[in-house]
Amino acid sequence: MAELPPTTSVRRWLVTTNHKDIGILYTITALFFLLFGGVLALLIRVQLWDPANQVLSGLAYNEAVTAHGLIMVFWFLSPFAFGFANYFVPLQIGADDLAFPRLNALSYWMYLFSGILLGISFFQGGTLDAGWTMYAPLNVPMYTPSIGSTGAVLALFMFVVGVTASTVNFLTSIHHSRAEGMGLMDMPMFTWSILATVWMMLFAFAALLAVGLILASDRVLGSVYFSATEGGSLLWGHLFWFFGHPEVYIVFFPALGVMLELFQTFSGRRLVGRKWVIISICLISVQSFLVWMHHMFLTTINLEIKTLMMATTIGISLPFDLLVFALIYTLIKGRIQFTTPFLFAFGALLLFILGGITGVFLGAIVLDYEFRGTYWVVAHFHYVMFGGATALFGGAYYWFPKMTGKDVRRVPRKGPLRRLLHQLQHGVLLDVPRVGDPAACLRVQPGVHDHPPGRDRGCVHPRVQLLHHVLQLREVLRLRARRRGQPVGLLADGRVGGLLAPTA
Amino acid sequence: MIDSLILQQGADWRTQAEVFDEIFFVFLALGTAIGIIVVAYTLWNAYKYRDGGENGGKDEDFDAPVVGELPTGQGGPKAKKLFLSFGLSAIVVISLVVYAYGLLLYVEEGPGSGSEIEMEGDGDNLEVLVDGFQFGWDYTYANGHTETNEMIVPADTRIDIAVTSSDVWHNFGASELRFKADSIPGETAYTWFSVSSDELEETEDGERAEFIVECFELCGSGHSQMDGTITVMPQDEFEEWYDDTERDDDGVEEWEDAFGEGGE
Repeated sequence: MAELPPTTSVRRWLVTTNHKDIGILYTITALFFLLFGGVLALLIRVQLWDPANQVLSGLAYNEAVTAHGLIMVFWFLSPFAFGFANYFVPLQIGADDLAFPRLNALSYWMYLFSGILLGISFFQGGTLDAGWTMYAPLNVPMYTPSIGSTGAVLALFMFVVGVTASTVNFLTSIHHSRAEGMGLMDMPMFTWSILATVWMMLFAFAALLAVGLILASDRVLGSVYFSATEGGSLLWGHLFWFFGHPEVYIVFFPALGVMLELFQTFSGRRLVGRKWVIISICLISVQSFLVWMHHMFLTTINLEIKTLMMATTIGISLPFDLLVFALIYTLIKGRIQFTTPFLFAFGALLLFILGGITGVFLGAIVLDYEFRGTYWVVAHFHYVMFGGATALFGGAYYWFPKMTGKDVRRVPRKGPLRRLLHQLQHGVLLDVPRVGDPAACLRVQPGVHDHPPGRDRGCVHPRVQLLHHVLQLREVLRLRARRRGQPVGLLADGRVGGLLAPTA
Repeated sequence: MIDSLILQQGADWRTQAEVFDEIFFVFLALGTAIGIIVVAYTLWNAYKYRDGGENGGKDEDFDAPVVGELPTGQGGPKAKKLFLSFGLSAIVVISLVVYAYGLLLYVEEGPGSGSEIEMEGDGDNLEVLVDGFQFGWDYTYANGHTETNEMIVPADTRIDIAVTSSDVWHNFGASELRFKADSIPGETAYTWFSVSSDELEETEDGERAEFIVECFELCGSGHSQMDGTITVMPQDEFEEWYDDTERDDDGVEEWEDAFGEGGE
């Protein structure tokens, strides 16, 4: 790194190919998109505050819903996790850098520019308003004519190209650049989770790249793949969900890796059934490609296929059960330190249990029929995604000293219980009310922005939900360095082991 | 096809709502119980083995990993516990789904075949074609007559619907009746529902029951307002209404595309 300008110069950050620098760039950029997506969520809540108000028009509401989904999944969660992956995977496998440092820099810049392109699309006559699943043929110019819609599709396309480059980079690095003598089974759990993630990305994003290409051709060149009456919609549905289901695990696995690391570090115990945890992770990665039609139970597919998809769906929940039990049993007979990172990881586990239980309901096809398009699905999805985000924030607190050389600013006078409740409040309270009264939830849909007076608008008043969003925002802003904190040197040898010695 | 509508709803004839409510109750009860047990167990152990507590790290084989060592796992009694819990959870989840699957077969098939009510084949059902558009619903009957946004059906009758779309992807659903069907251009989805005359008697005027229909798939700017109604009336009144409707050949053609000539 001697040839790079100092970290205080702007030029350094523009020309760097160092994995640590790029990791930091990813993390900061992702936090910006978290705020972006969070502001859109606030807008949605403000509109829902009172069904009579017109803060957002019908179209603007749909734009906010669409962009919130796309930004949180694509431009926040994964890149936030890959900020840590960039920084720590080479350290955990004892490599000097990723296999292709320049390609890594290219991936980051494509990610940033695709995000900017998405931001610009709001000012090109409105961004895409077809929902985050972008179902055909609503996604073709006949129904979404704005230039911004095309802009959003191109932004997504550019993002996918960047992601694919990054996937290849991580795959090569983990398989090829490990320290001598380090077998796959010797890798720390965070690196294992990233390895499974990039393998899924290799195949899943290929499907998204394919739909992206076809859609871009429909929107720019005027082809009619997705507007074709015969099969256009289903072509999109199948390709999108073939990508979409593995994507859930692509987003969640890095967070799981963080949880696995933090549970071991702060309980002082080694992972229970480590080999089986790794086998579960591999199984899930393969199975994730065999369940996509459970997102399409109502799309005229026949009973045989539905039965098969139901079986594979239940099948994929089993390795997850094992992962959850492994995390819980690791704590037993340990010496648990309720530090901030651990509280986040622990809260993430509780959220994930809730997400798992609500998910089993959706595996029963009869229930799934009725839950289609309601807040039950939205809540289930948010429990899992929010659980992931919570674990990643635990990672941020955990690795902050290593990445900045500064201590995390501590909040005094707060006991562990209060802090745990504080974190859970953001995740649980936000979503529990949504499923609290199932009858009401069945009638309420996420896409509806102006429920007529007298009809149910939700199980909890939107004003309460709005308040929780503000509290969440505060949590994000809390991650600050203590300026005069003692520089801390951690991960002593920097070569192997994901363990951060807990400081007393 | 309407002539033979005079029939009684059989005792074993269950609506989709009843099936849903049964499965939902079973799942909710078990899900809540398991959730409480797992979370309580986790919280209790996290508290019990807290650092500085009576039990935290007092185990004689406590030996924390140190920085720099190759990561390994932990076996012993905990691993046995892990497989026991895994096995139990697998049994619960699989039996839940097998149970729910049995009822799925009923929902897919619908009452009629294999049920004891007197029906002479599917011809006794009322068959209605539902066509979604931005932003509303068209209902076409066997004689080709088309109603917009209000579906009129008789009580105590199995209503078979075929759902399609003339523009984008919608989803046709009535939450209170607990049925939904995707409305996809170029595809036809089939489902059924029924309302017993008991429900009609419970309404204010004792004659008409109304159910709200909504679109459940984001379909454009008017998605929020894409509502409709299902109006259920006694069979004789329905017949009267139906006899007054006019035959429309284009409608018949569309209807036959979905249900075959003269119904299945």
